[in-house]
Amino acid sequence: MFSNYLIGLREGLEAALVVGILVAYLVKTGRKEKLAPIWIGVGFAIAVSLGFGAVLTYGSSTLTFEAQEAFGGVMSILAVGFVTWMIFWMRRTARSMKSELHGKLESAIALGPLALAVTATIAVGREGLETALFLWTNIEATGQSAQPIVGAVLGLLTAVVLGYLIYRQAVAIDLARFFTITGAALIVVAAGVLAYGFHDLQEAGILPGLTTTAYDITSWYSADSWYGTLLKGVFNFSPNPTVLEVVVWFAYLVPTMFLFFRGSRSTTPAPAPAPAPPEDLTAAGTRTPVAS
Amino acid sequence: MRTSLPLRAAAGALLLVAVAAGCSSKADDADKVAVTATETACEVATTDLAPGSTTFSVTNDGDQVTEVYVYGEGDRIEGEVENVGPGTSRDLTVDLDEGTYEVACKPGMTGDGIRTEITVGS
Repeated sequence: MFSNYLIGLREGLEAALVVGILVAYLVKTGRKEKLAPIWIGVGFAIAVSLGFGAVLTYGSSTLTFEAQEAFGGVMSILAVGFVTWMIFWMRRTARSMKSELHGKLESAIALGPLALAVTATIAVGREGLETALFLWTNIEATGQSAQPIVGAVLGLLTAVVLGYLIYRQAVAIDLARFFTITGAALIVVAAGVLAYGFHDLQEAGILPGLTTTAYDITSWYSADSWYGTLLKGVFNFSPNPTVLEVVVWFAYLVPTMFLFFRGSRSTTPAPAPAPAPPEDLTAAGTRTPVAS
Repeated sequence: MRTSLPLRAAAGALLLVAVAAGCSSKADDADKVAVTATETACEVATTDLAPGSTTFSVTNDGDQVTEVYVYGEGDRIEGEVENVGPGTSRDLTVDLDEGTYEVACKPGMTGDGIRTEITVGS
C-alpha cells in the first residue's frame, strides 16, 4: 500500500504546488473573484483525465506508446509555457502594486479568466492521464485487494493537504517575499517539467539521445523512497537523466532566474526561452495594457 | 485574454485528431500474453509471438512498484507501462515486426531491469 501511496503523492504534488501558489496569489492581491476559473480548470482536467483513463483501461482501445509519450512531452512543454507566463505576469503585477499608495490594489492589468483556467487545467492535466491510468488500474485491482486504491487516494489527498499548507504559508508572508519565493520556486519546478517533457520526446523517438545518460546515481538513490518521491514530485528530479535533460534544465533555469531577479527598474522582460511565447496571451485581450 | 473561438476550436480539433491517430486496438483477454513481474523475475507466458499487435497483461506480484518495457534493437523502446503498483495489473500493447526483443521488468523503476527475450516471427 505504501508504494501506491508514494505514487499518488508524487503525481499530485506538482499540481498541488502550482495551483496552491496561483490561489495564494489571487487571494493576496484581492482578486478572489478570479478563483472560480481556477477550480473550473482543475475540475475539467480531473474529469477529462479520469474519463480518458477509464476509456483506455476498460475499453478495447489503447494509445500507441509514441502517442502517449508525444502527448506527455507536448503537454509538459505547454505547461512550462503557461507557468513561465504566470511567473512573469505575477512579477509585472507586483511592480505595479508596489507603486500604489496606501495598499490600494488597482492594477490596470486585467487577467482573462480563460488564461487562469487554462494554466490550472494544464498544471493538473499534464500528469493527469498517467495518474488516471494508475488510479483505474488500482480500482480494477479491488477485486483482489483494496489496498492499492486506498494507498493511491491517500497519497493524492496528502498532496492536496501539502498544497493547502503551502497556500497557507504563502498567504501569511509579506507580498514582496511572496513573489520572490514563489516565483523562484516555480522557475525551478518549471525547469524540471521542461526537462521531463524533453525526456518524453526522447522516449517517443522524436528527439535522439535517450541512452546518452548524464549521470546515474541509482546505485544508492532509490526513486521510490520518501525522499525520491518528494524530489521527483516537486522538482522532477531524475537519478539518471539524459544529457539533453540536464542541458534543457540549465538552459531554462539560468536565463529565467536571471530575468526574474533583474532589477526592478528594468523594462518588461520577454519571457524566458520557452517554446510558447506567453506574451501574446496578456497582450491580446487585456483592457488596459500596462506600460511597465 | 481573448483568443478567437475558431482558433480554440481548431486547437481542440487538432488535439482530438492527434489522439485518434495514436489509438490502436487491444487484444481480447484470451489473446493477451501474461507477464508476471516480481522482485527477481520477469516471466513471459509466451515467448514466441506472431508479428503485429500483441497485448501483454502485466501483473505485479512483487512488493515494489514496477515498470515494464519492451526493448527492440539498441534498447529502442517499443512500449512501456510505468507506475504498476504492487498487486495491480496493467495492459501493454505493442506492435512488433519480426525480430528479437526483450521484455524488461524494473522493480523499483530503476536500472536495466530483469530481461526476458522474446522472438517475433512468422
